Amino acid sequence: MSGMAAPQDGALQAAMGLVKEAIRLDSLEKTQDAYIQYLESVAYISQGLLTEAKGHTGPANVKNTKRLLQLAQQCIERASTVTDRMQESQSLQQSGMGPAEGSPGPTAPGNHSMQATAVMGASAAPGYQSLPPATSGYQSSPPTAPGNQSLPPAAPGNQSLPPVTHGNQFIPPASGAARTAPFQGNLRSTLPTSPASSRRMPPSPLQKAYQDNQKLMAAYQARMTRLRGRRDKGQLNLSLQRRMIENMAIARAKQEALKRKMEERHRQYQEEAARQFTSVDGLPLPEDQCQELYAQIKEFEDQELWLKAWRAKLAEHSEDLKLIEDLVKQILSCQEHPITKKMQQFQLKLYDRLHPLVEKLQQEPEKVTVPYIEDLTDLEHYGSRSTEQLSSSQEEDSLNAVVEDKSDTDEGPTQSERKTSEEGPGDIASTGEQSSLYEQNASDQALESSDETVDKTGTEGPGDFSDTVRSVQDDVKSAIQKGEELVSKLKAQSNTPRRDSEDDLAYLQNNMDDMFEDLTEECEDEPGNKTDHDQSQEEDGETGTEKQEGEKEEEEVEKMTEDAVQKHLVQVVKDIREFMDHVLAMLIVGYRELNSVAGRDQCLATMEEPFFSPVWSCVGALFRRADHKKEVVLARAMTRYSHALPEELGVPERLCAASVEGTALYKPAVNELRRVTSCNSPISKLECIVRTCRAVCECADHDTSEGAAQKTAASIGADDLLPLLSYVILQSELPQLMSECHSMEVFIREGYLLGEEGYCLTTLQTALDYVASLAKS
Amino acid sequence: MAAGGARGHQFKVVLLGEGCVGKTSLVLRYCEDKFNDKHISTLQASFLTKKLNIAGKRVNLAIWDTAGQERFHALGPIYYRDSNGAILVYDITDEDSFQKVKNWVKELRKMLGSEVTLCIAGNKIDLEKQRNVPAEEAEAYATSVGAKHFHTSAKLNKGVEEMFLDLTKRMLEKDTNSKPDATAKPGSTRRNIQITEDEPQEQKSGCC
Repeated sequence: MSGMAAPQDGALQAAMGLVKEAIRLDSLEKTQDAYIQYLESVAYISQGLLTEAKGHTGPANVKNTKRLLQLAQQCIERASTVTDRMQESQSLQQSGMGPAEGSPGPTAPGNHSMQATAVMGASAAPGYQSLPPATSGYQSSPPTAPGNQSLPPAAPGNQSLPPVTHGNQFIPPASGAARTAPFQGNLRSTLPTSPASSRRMPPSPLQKAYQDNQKLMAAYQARMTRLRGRRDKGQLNLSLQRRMIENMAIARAKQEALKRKMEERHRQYQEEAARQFTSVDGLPLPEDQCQELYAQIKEFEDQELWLKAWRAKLAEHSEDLKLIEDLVKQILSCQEHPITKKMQQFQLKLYDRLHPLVEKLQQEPEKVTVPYIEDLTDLEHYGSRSTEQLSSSQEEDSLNAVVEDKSDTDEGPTQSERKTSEEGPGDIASTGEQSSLYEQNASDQALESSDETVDKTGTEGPGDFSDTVRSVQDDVKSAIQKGEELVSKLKAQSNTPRRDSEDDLAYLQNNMDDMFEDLTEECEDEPGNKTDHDQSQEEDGETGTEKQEGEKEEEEVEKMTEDAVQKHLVQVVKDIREFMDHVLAMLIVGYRELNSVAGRDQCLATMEEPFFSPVWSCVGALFRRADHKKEVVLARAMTRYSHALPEELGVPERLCAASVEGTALYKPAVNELRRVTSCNSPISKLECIVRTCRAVCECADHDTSEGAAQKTAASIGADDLLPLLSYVILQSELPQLMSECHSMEVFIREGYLLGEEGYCLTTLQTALDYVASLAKS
Repeated sequence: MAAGGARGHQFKVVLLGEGCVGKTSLVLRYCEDKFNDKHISTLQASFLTKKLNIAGKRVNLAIWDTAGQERFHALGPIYYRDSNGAILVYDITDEDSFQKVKNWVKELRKMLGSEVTLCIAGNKIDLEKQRNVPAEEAEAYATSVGAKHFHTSAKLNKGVEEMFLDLTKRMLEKDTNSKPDATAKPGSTRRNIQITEDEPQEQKSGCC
């Protein structure tokens, strides 16, 4: 007997294990798995009993067999409830019935409670079945109620209204996400990549109702465990259901009312806007846009009470320029503000256009830096510390003339020379690329004659110079080989410049896009473009067939690229002004008080920094490319006169009192001027220029008082300021001052140019022009 | 910060003259006199502003000093563009400096037309004994080009105040006579003006 009981005991335990697993899965809401597990348990039990029955003449252990049969029965019951629930949850997902938290699923671990839970499941059936099965249902089932997940949570109340429409209208989710993709570098970090709000908002009525229902559910569960097996459970369940449904209904009604209220308000604001102005005079905003924008701004203000405070302040002191400045700063630094969002769209537009263009253009000529090494005599100038620089330069100029004559005829070899001048502090890394451009059409002849050229310059130059040349001759030869490789490579790529200019044309044509539809007629560049285009196509046909025309063609291509760059510049400047005027118009739409001459100027000045700083790297690069030639000239002069003393630039003796060789004079002013490149907006650059001019005067003051104590001579007139500034420019070694100046000139508003700022800019321009003219002497 | 936009009259005055004729001392004398150190800005004597009240009208003068040296003249036009007035200074002991004044008058008239109000200042009258430019000749020349002539001495503070006052009055007259002028509305005319400004400069720098 005992021997027979053993296997059956084992079977019972194994069956219990299976059932336990099934119950665990059930409690985890893995309905499908639990269902299978239940059925498997049944199969196992019946299989065991069957083999036993076949092997013996009767149930060996009646008690155990009965228990097993009971277990199987319970399993079948559980499985059937599970199927019910599966069905239920499916229909729920379709209908989207209000969710509720976790099922009161059985957690009973063992055989003993099994009965009880099964009974509970059965008795609670009506209520239990209508409930969603799990928390997962709450999360995954799409709610029919408006504003569960897709809308920003809204406040249920009186003081601040939720932006139901706001969410839909302002956040451009698709375009916003797509547009951020091309963002790189600093722009990405300065502009918000996602318009999603990080702000906390009060929950909407519906969300509140969900939370309430969850609490109810929890309370219900707690009570259920206490009342296990009692009769009034069904009733309790029903009342819970009723309450939850009521809650949802109320919440839904509230939400509806709120939405209606919001719509009402939006209409109200639009009407208010319509009453206030037909359109802002002289600004590029049509009437309906004004009204829409005004409503949007007002709605935004309803959430942001601090903006209301600003509005009140502005109404009181509309003349206060400082207040205007602060307000505009606040608005434009608030990423959620409708105006700021629009501005970011403009910036993205600019960036999207400029970035690819600038990337392409920057590859062509290398960045101009000082020392600018064109031939080895430049190095001579740069390296020497002769105080007789200016007088001796004439002598050397005649020498240059010889070399320059050569470089006119054979551009290729001189380039190779440059490439190999390794002892020069020049930007050698980039010369490979540069020479590839220059050598593009250099004939084989030119390459062969290069040895001769080097020899000539070697013998004609001064002693130490010829030494230098000899030492690099070998390098030159290897460079020529490289050059030949490059030439063959470039033949394959020889069509690229033309493609570039076609791209450029495409840019110009697309430029006048949807943003300012009304302006499309103004596109005066169009006819010019067309002819350019035709030309380039004609040339396309000729390329490759006639090699000798290569040089001429290259010139033309260069000229065309140059033209295209200039056109881009004009267009981009126009766009930027357009965009800024648009932002200004929006500000005025939002705040009528700003619509005065002083107010407008202040707004424009204040918006510069936030507007320009994310895009300046691109805008600046375009300017540098456009002013490339001028920068080269300036760099040449800076290289040649890098060690000139103030006296040599015409600074009167009295201001050079402390002039000792090696001590950097006017160092503070030079440092200040260098900072101009790190400023990211025209106005901040201009302010930097003003500080530079002041620093020049202060340095001069300091020098005189230290030197001869000539207090009366301290005042610096233009006669002194210009030579001093020229000296400071030379010392700064920044050829990009040319393009910096150009960009300031283009973007700075006229209002600024009458005052000290204008004077300083004019003086800087004059001094730059003078310094650049030194390169020609 | 911005010079434009404020109510009242904004005038730009350029100061022209060869080096060493004393234009800097002249303007320093004028601005120093009433406000002492306060009005010598950190830019010292190169750029000065002066507020005046003439017959109830508020006037703000921005006085731009220019370099006398020949080598800085290439970009002269950008200094005196949009000028309302110009003071041309010569040294009465230096005939050459008077010739230079004549050149400038020609250029100003060419660039700015009759809009600009001119003053010619014969400076250093404290050195009357060494005079090389006859007073009659200078005055006759001034009237012939529609300018006013003043005898000044920065050292003795003679004629300086009068000259600036007279210039300001004449600029005011011109300003009120020709109302729809560029000085009236900086905001609305900005674009047109700037575009026309850009072009000659680009050509200029292109050729060098």
